[in-house]
Amino acid sequence: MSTQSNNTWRRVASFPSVSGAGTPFVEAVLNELARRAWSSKDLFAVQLALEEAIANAVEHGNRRDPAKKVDVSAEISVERVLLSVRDEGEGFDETATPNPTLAENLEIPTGRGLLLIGNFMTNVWRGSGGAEIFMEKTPTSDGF
Amino acid sequence: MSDSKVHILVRYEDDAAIADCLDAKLNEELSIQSWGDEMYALIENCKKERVIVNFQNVKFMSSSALRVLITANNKAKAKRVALFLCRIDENILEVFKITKLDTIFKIRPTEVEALHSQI
Repeated sequence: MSTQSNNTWRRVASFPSVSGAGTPFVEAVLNELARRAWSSKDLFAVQLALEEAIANAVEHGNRRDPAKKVDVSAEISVERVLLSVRDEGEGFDETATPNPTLAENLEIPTGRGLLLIGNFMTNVWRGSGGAEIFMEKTPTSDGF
Repeated sequence: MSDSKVHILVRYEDDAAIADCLDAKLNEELSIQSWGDEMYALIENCKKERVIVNFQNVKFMSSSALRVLITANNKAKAKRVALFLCRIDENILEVFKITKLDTIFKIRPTEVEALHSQI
């Protein structure tokens, strides 16, 4: 469902933990940002962060259980986009994950989603005991 | 499970097998799985000294695609094949820099440079 007031666009959605179920929500967010003339670099950043967060929710939070839902929300204003992704898992301790940029971890195939989210978004924080991630981005001149 | 589409086209030139990635986006689970299977098969069956993966068509890539590339790189090393990546989009190159994967992959701006780089 989406609403618009005072030039602020809002959308919330809930979908099962299956591959591709979040795609319509991601596309709606990107379409709205494109309509507001956000740069292609910023669009790339938002798409990457949102898809990585949804993938983490499906895979790690809900363990790919299609009966479990992923709840997402987006709020887009002139100044920023604010996104949230919440799963039904027990929460996530980021400090417990190995740093993928350390030399000894570079050839490990997994574990880069959160690193990318943190780098491509302006602010990132967690709620709901770690089961929800909030991601904020302000439009930038060079996109990063 | 994987999809039935073709994700890479392979050409041969000098000592290299050159794989053109056909997808504009490497972010859907089934597509990435199929793309990975094609990449792994190329490396496993490669009779050439180098494999060059050309990303000219690719404009978006998720961390799942990075997972395939890291696995492909590990397989290439085990088989003593040099894996080069080229024509990577500016936004995607930023992903490689953030993750420091640009330090383990042989990344070249063009196919010609990948063909003539020292192994």
